[in-house]
Amino acid sequence: MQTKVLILAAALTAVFTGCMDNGEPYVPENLNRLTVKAVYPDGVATKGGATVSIVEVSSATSYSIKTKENGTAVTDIPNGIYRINVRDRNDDYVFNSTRDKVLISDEDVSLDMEMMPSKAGAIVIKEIYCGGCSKAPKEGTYQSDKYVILHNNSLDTEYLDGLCMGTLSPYNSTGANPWLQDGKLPDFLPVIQAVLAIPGSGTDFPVKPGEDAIVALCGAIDHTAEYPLSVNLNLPEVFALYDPVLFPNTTYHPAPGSNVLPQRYVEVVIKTGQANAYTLSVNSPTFILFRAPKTVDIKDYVQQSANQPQVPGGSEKVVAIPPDWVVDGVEVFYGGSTGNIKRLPETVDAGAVTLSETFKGRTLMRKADETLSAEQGYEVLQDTNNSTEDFYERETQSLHQ
Amino acid sequence: MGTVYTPFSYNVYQVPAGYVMPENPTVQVDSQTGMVYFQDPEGYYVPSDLKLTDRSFAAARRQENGADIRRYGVELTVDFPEIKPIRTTFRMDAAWNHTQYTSDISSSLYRDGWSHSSLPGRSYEYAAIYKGGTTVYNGRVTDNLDANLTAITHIPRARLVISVRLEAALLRNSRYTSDKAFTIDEAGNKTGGNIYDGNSYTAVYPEAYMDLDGTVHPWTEASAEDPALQRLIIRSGNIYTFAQDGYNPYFCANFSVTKEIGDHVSLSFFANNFTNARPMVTSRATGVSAIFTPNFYYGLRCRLKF
Amino acid sequence: MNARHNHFTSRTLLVASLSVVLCAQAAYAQNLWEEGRNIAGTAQGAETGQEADAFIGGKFTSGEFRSPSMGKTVWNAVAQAQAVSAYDDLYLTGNFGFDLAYGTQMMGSMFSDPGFYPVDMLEFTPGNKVKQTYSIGGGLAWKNSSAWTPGITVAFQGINYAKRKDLRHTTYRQDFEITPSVHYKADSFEAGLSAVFGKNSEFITAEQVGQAKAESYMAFLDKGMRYGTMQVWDGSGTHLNEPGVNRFPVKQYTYGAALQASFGGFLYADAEYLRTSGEVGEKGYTWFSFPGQSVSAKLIAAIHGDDMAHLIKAEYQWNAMENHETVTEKVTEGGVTTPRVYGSNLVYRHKDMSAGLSYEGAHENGWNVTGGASLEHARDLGTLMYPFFDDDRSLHLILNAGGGAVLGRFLIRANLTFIQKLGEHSHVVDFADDNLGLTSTPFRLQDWWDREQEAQDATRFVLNAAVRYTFNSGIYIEAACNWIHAFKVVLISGNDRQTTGLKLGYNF
Repeated sequence: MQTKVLILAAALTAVFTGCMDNGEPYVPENLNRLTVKAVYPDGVATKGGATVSIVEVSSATSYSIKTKENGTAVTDIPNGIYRINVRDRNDDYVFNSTRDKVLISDEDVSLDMEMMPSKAGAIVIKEIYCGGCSKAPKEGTYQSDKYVILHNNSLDTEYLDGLCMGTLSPYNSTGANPWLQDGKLPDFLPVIQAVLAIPGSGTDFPVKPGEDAIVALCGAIDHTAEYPLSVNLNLPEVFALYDPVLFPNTTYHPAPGSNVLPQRYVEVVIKTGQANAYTLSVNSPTFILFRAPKTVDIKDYVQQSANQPQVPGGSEKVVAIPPDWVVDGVEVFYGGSTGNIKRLPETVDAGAVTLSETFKGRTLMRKADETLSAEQGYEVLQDTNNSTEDFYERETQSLHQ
Repeated sequence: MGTVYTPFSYNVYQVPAGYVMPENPTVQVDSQTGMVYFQDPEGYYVPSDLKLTDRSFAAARRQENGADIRRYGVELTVDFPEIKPIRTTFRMDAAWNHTQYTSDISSSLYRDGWSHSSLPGRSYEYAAIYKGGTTVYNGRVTDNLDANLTAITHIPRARLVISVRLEAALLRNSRYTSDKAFTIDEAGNKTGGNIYDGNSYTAVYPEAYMDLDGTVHPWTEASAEDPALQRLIIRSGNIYTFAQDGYNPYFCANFSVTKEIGDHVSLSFFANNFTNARPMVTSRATGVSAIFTPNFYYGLRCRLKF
Repeated sequence: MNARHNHFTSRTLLVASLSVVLCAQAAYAQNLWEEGRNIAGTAQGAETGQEADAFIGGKFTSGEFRSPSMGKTVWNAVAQAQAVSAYDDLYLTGNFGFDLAYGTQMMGSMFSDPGFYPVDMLEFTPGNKVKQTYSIGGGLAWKNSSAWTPGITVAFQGINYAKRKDLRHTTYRQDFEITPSVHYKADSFEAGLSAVFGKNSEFITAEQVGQAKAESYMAFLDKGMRYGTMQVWDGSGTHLNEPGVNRFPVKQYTYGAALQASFGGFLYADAEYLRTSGEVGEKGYTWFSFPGQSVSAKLIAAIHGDDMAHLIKAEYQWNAMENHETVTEKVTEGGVTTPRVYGSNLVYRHKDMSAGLSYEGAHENGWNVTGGASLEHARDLGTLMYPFFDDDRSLHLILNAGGGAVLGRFLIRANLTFIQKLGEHSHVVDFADDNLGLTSTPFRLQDWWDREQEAQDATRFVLNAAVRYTFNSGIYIEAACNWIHAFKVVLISGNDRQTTGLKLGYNF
């Protein structure tokens, strides 16, 4: 009798624990093997130790591993759509390789990543302040104070004259990218709304090594007079986007302050957008600096219908800029949302810097290269062609006082 | 509503040369000429310098008739006899209708905000006139077929009336039409294909364009080659504008229950799309999914009879 | 409406229930088939006649032992009617209910019934909310001359739930269940079979219309165990505002069967198996799919003494549910964005089981006593971010005792429930593999989770009491109260929550 009770009790326990068992947290059948191989250019020896960062786009789950001696890294990961970046450096170069939207779903994936050496630019983007700030002590938010700082990172004096600037379509990184076809970006950069240029005839606006120039994309006034958390852009070194015919919205484009010289007003090479104020995404813009080769007249180039593709699914026209014209470019992602999609090809920016919050005065800054700065005696900024590495988010605008 | 554009010009002034802006400047505008004056420290007014004269187009709205729309259709209703054992009657109704229109009305369009094709800091210099609207299509043909089946059941012992209605959209077909659009490749070159194939981008030329003097020029083949005018060509945003569009059938059901209380009061509860059916149908032209069933919606109705 | 069979029932132990059943006399002569779903079985024992009950009432709830998804104070206005008409050949039931609730200082879940689904959506600005619940149902059994009786019940519920302060939302819920049944009568036993088909769905539409348009409100998408995505509400991770789907739709189908049997009028048993399949998303977007299943069984023995009836009931319930998050890509081609769903990852698993024994003794004079004990065991496993996992186990003991009596025109009833956690509520947080370079663990709404765990695990009692006075005409007036008191709570700002209500009814 007693044994029967025991057997019954044991059987009941087995049934109960069995039906209450949730199983192993992860089973190998539900995982996929990802093999990433860093393929170095000819003449560069394959080596280990390269950092492989794997980010699931929609959940922002991220893994960071290193390659082995043979240049490969192997890991198990769950289903997802990943952005994979491999970066490495040797004594001469910084290498990068990025793949966006790699689908890994119920199959093992092997990737050969072509490591591309980056060329450090002479003029680089030092800071992008696009997120706006609070109107405190008043109610509301403010974004007429957007600016970009350019920096001469080279050993020679550079001239900004004729340097073109623009932001890419789509404005934000968080929506769908209409330019993607079969997951690939087009072979040009779609500059939306307007192509801007620094005025000058060639040698009017020199920047010495380690010096900066500020481009006020909205109002070049002392914004702190009314909004203490903003910045003063009424400075002699500011280039101001002020064109009352093409951008007549005085909330965003008030008449520049007394310290801004009219010859430093940014030129609008072409405007294909219809907004009355220049639009730079408040949370996730791309911003590029470019220069047409000497054989090409940019004013003619932008007018050609063949260089004005239309946004797929939209009616707005953009200007197609060849990627090799680019002097520097930065991709910004929005930290308030997952699902950010890259718009700049890896040759321009292999990564992206994340702006975590808007309207908090936060800004995106390029890191200084302390060693080189000490060697060369002026501020040298890090330029590895990967803004994930090169940039950081700062609590306040660098011009905020 | 149509829009008409009239050229106009306006001056942009700047601070006079050598004028130093005081702390509290006094500025006056001549109400007749629009000239702007600044007060100098001696109290004299100095005229501002003319920076540039921009010429653009002013828009005015006017009422006009839309295109003629031709409609025809057939309706059908069948009442079935009551099925006695379950005290239920069925009714079926169906309707088919066909709609077609083609617009020949001229529409003008000026893109505010565009920059001039050659002069820096000036507005774009042309307004365009398109035949049949400012889109690549100027007509549309649609065919719809709907059918409903209603069942009404009486339960006299419970003084209840229950009705269930099944609504079906059996056919949804539509297509945009144009008598002036042509196919283009991705670079915008005319390719001479059939616009109704639904696999190429399409475009239309303006019928004419107006310059800043108000002169209307007819659009010619030469205009299509002029970079300054090419921006007036309207391109479709996608390749399937003229593809045959339509949706597969979709259904939803409504119900209502009416309870009679005494001789004077009846209380009804109704719920439209009571299963909250949200079937997704896919556009044949675009592949975009849509949900057309009405929103889940319910309520109570009280009827008093005296 | 019997769709609530998922695991979160344990969480709802918090919810004050005011439904003290005041049918002491009925307990004495209870038809055991009323315990099941089979209306054809219920119809067998029914005496010919018509009975209806209708009431209007109001209640007020307050007290700080609450989740932020519950109001600081809640007013309810309720109207309900139900009727049973039994004829020789036909048995009809019908019911209608309307409940209007107005709560203050509410935030948290945007779902009308938080915890019903394995996903949840939270917002964080306290404000007033209004909820309307309509329920309507009916049943019919046809007592023909054969041994077989067919029957069917239908139940429908519609809820709308809205908040009018940013981040504001409007939520609609629909719940529909249809249960066709058949009953077979033999000499020594009766048996029944019911099929269950149900659909419930809910969608949340969130919007921001306030002046501070640029101010971003945060929302949290809970993917199980308060692990999930915290983002600005219209960010793509919350799915509240995707291109083409500007709402958060959830739907769940239920299908299953139940078997009933009774022997000689003193032994009744039933067993039920249900499967559910749920989905979040629409228009080709499927963000989550959540299949589930449940088993429930009960065995009731009724012993009739000279003037006492004794009911002994054994009940068993088992629920299992999984939540799979899909890999969805938005593909834009030619300017058209369409979703593509590839594989999925299992992000959450839940199982719970409860077993209980209860007794009810009813005297022919109308007084009765009840008592019972049950055990609830629950296990949760969160696997949102490989190789991280969180394995939770808990065991709770629930005891209750109550009694009721008829004193002239008064009817009184009281019931006390006591809930105690047994052993440790274990949380094992670990990594399935340590060498993967996972740069962060999944985001958890930790303070909410901690408070909810405290609420669930707190030793507490729930006291329900009600008194009813019936007038000659059949009109009655009833006052009821419900009081929850929790011991030793630290994170939750109060120990008590109470509801008091009054209703005026008519029994005819």
